Amino acid sequence: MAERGLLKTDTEMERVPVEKAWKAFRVIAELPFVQEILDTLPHPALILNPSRQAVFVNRSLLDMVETDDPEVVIGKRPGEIFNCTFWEKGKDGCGTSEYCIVCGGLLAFADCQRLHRPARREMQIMTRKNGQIVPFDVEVSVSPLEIGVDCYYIVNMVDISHEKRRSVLERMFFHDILNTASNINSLSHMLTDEQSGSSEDWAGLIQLASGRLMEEIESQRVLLFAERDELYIALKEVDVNGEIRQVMEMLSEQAQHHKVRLVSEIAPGSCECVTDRSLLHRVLMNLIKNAIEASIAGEAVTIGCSQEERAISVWVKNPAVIPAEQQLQIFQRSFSTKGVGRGLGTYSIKLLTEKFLQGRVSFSSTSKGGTCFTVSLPLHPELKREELR
Amino acid sequence: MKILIAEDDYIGAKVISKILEPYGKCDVASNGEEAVALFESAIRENSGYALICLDIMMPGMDGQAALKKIREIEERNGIHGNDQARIIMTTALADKENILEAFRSQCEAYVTKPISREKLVDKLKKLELI
Repeated sequence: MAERGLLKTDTEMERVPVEKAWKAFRVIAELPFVQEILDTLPHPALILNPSRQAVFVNRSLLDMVETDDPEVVIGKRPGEIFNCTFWEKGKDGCGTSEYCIVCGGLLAFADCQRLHRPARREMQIMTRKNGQIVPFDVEVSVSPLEIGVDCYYIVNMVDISHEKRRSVLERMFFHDILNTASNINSLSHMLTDEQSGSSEDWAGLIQLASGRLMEEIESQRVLLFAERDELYIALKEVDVNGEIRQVMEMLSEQAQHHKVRLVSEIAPGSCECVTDRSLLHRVLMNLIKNAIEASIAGEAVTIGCSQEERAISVWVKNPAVIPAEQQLQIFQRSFSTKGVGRGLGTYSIKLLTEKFLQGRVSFSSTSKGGTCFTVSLPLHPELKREELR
Repeated sequence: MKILIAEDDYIGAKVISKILEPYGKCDVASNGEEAVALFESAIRENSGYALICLDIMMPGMDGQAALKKIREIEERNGIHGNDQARIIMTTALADKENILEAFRSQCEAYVTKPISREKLVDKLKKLELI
């Protein structure tokens, strides 16, 4: 894991007592038009002290955290205000966990504080609301603000989730789907090309490519509905071993192309749990596809499944190590190892497993053991009948 | 001639291989790293590739990065002018930015998917490979 200590913000600036933050609040509240101007902004804005504690916030921010009372936010750091999933992992809250070194908000603040000029960065924040993880992509701009002899920082947070989402979708649709559709077009040319040999071979590939096109569209559709919370699940007894075997078969050509071996360590026979078969299929596809793409020629991707007292665990291992900085962002929505605006694989695995299948996803990645993603699914999820399709 | 095809999609790779088969021996790489490794080992064995088809978007090292590496390897090994490999970039997205970047990194041509025998053979003729 990456080490803390790259940023000279929270390590140098200890928190000030809340009373001191309130004192700053009263000074700023006395200034003409500050509240009025900040309240006209349609996005959350806040003023931070050098210890990154909120000393003033606008109406949009209070609306976002569903309160009318500034007491809920004054003296807190941004991650604590927005209930970032990582703020409790640090020894002194927001800004002090190992995950925080890649936080765009913290980096923008550090840039502004160090250079004494406005700084702007993108931030992916995973907030927790009613037990659910809600991701936001935010553009954070931080500007220094001197009031008397004191220095503060005015922070604007513009939600760019829709733009990010659109950009990823565009990449997926305009590239991956166009790529597969192009293959079908090329294959249909080969069918009628006398120099290209048996039309039966090409017809078989057309079937494969068109099946993949449908898979790609379906995976986008499922993700879109999952994010809108409009995904209904159909629970029934599913043989997880059987599903794994089927997905391995579907991905065998792709593995062969990457010169990667798919090794099954699943026990003979079945391994059953009550779950949604199509979502499990999506999760398994993403897990195994990611592992294949992360492997180099000659390596093996190993897939196993074990049944415990109340859960079934599926694990997928490959020898490559995920760099420390990427590990910290692995489940974030806009994160991908495939380049800017690509790939929703790990985010989608987490969303579908934890929000809809009531399971858990974890991973480890070390130079000794390689990378292993584990998905644990309850044998009998506790869902009400009316939640079923 | 020796041909190297770097394409992460095996169906796409199969189509290109089939079209190029009559003109030489085709090796297939599924990503940029593998393509660069194959290219480097061919140089070591003194049997370099005459033609390389590089898909721009691949997981891991993409086509653009592989193109730069290949040109660096040629530079390091004193391979210049007509002795250099002819590189055709293949892409499903014919966006200006990607194409310009590829030309800046000294590719010789690009082909927008869907790939057909006609399109690819036409490029080989223009590059005087056939």
